[in-house]
Amino acid sequence: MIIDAHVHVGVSTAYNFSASIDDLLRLADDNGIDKLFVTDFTALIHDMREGNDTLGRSIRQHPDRILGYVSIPTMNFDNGALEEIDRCVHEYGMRGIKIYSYPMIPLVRPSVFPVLERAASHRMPILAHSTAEECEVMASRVPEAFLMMAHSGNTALARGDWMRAVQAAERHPSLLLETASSAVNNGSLEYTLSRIGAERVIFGTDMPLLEVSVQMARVSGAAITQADKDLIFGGNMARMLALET
Amino acid sequence: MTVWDFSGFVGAWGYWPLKERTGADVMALMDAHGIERAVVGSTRALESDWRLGNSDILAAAAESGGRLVPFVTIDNTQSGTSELLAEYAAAGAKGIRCYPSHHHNTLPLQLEPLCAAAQDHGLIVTLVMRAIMDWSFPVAAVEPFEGLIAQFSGVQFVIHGLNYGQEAWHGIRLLNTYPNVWLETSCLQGLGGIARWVAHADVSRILLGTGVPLQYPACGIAKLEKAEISAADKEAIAHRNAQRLLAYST
Repeated sequence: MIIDAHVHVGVSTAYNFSASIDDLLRLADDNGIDKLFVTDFTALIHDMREGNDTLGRSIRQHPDRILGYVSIPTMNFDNGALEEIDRCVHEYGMRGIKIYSYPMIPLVRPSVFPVLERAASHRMPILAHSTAEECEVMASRVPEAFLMMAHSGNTALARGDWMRAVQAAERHPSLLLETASSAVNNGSLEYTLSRIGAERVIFGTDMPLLEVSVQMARVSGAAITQADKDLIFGGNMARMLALET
Repeated sequence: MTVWDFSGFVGAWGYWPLKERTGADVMALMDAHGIERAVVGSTRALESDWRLGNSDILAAAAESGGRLVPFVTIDNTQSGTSELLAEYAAAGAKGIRCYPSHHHNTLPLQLEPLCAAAQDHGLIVTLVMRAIMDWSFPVAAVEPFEGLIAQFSGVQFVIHGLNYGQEAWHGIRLLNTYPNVWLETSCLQGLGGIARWVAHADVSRILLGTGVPLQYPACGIAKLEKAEISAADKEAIAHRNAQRLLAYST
């Protein structure tokens, strides 16, 4: 089973994308992806409740294909985030939480730790668009949370320092690395697995921003075993969410 | 699909552990991914010593049975460019790679002697906006180079390393404005990027690049294979355009 752990739905004028759930499912079908773990862009940077509700309705329409992140804007960490997490779990069965460095302010602030703790209490993975340094702080403070570092450091925000991300994951067993990135450095996945194993590497595409086939090929074309590819493509996420495979 | 890669490299790599260092290593990786031929530049010329790097790349190409097509790099502050390029062309170089953001933050006017010499010697000039798509690497803007492209209409310019957004649109505009501009795809990572380029630009001047061995070659090939364009356009991008462009080179 292939699970894409990094998917955006909605419209972003800033990032020049627009994708409905149906658009995303077509992309998934074209690329052999079984399930999409989705964050709503409106929820992430505009209106948390409106966006999460929109995604929740899509989950109800496609319960076998769509997994939902409760998206929490940074400014809302101490402004209704905990209630929103509980609401989205109970109303829509959302399985994860997305936190995002927008605007360009630190995710690590006192108000983030209760969000991580609530995620841990629900056994929800957190997809964090963040730096290795921030992830280290969060993983240190709330080691019981499953923290997934979006892009594994391959962002402008994290200065493209994916090796620093690997170091962070080596030091913190609860930190996982998610693969979506424009950067497709040959040998990076092999190096990552040599340091932390395949069990903490999670496949993502960042669709509809990045070319899905490239993100698939980054894993399928790497010089790693098929068993490790299977873990990365979906086995790890299925285990974390206790999904039937 | 026959694949020619326009954005290969040969040499040691200082930024992360990389197994493929020699020409033979790179060709083995090319074999694993069905890449028949690759235009290659020296990582040493990119990172440190351009003279030694050029020696490396010419030697690797000479031992490759024609599979590695060497492009050299010249320090743009160097005098005697024309004589140097004549030597390199005689030794088998087919073109030049310029790295404006890596080398002195090069201004277009500093490349004028190089372009004049390239024109004289029938060499292709690659303007590398990004060596690879890596967020820790410097990026050059393509717009300032328009005057250079217009000035040297007898030079074929390959713009290397554009990704999505405005930089892609600037590249497409240059390709559509100047018949001596070509774009390569190694850093184009946006969803449907190749199809978008084909929809807006002359497909006959789009070149496949994977960035082998610095980037996973499977990624560069997959985005062409999955692109929603015609089979003929895929063939053109995969190798036919590169064959035609390299025929310009003496």
